[in-house]
Amino acid sequence: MRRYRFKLIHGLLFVILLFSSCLWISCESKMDNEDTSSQTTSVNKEVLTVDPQAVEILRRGLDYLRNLKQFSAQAQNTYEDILESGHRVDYEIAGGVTLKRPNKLRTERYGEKMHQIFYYNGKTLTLYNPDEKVYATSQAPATITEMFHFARDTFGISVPVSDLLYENSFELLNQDLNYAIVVGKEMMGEVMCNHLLFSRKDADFQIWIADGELTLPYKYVVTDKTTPELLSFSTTIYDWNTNPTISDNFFNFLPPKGTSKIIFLKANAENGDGN
Amino acid sequence: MVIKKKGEKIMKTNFNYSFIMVAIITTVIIVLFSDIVEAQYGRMHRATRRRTAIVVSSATHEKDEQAAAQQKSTETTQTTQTTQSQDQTKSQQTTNTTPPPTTKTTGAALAIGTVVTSLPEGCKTSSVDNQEYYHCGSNWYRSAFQGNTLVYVTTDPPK
Repeated sequence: MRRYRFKLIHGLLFVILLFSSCLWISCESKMDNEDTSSQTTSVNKEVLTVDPQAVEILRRGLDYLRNLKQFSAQAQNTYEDILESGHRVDYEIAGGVTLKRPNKLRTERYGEKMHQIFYYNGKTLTLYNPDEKVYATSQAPATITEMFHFARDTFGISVPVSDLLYENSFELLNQDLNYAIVVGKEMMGEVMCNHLLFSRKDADFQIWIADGELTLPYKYVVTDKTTPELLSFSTTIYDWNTNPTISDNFFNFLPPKGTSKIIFLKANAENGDGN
Repeated sequence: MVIKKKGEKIMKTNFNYSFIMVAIITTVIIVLFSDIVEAQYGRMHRATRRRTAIVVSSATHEKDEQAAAQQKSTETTQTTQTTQSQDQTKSQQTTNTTPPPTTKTTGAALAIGTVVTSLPEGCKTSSVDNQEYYHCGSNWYRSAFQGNTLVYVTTDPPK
């Protein structure tokens, strides 16, 4: 009898261990399957919430944009804010972007009584307000990505849609993601787009990338999670032209008569000339 | 004889079970341990990554632009300069950079390098070396871009 009981306990333990091992192995293989095409996160439970398909669509879209030698598009920007009265308000600024690889960019924006043009020709950057007839210019780094960093860090200048125009936009956007999903397919005007949602610690961002061969972005929304109201800014990009005829002079600023040259205030210094 | 044979049989069976169990337990321990190590490595790997706030920074910097747009609209509606100054302060709070402090525009003498978002009334414009100067009360101003916003900075009188 004693020997029989001993055998039964062993049998039970064996079954329990076998069952838990099978369970664990099935979990592991499921995690492996989901992780095969995702290079975003390391081995952790977080990987379960990053859909590799969303990351892949983002990569394809931004690669396509990066490989275009030149393009132009219009952009409609909406900025959310809270009024002193506590009401939420949206501000609209229209704009346009023209880019020529490797290092030429011109953007324009129109707000209420605000008209500003940004020029970058690979050597200098210029900010020009035609209505006030003033401009400021500065030497600039030789690539678009370096110029964006320089303009932002040195002068605090922002450029519309710049998140998507970096040469390494995908790598930058793909960092530190803890959530990524394909929300679904939606129409932007006449274009069927994949609607993607990504999240990191301080911000969520959504992007609508065209389905099919020409995987251009049609909308981009960033939600600042550090604001209690979860304020967002969004850009709708339209009138894409992936092969415009542009001369290099389009990116050079020649001050019209009666225009005054002014200075850039340095972002981290008390005062300074941008030249 | 029979009992002895039975005993031998049972011993053999127990040995097989023990062998399989030890193998399974060892496998489970190794696999679990490797998972822990991998998870720890992943955590370390993430910690060493450079955190680039590309999305957030563009969100906050765009607010600067929005403040600029607001500044324009407040200028047109002749609202008080306090509102503009608050807008400016708000934009300063949201940006990563620390631009010079913006103050209200008054007729009183201001320290050189003070940034204002609009000029007081009754300024005289003069151009020296293709640079526009604004003489307002006891202050001289020059235009400048603070980010994407057009501002005015107090300066020494032109020579």
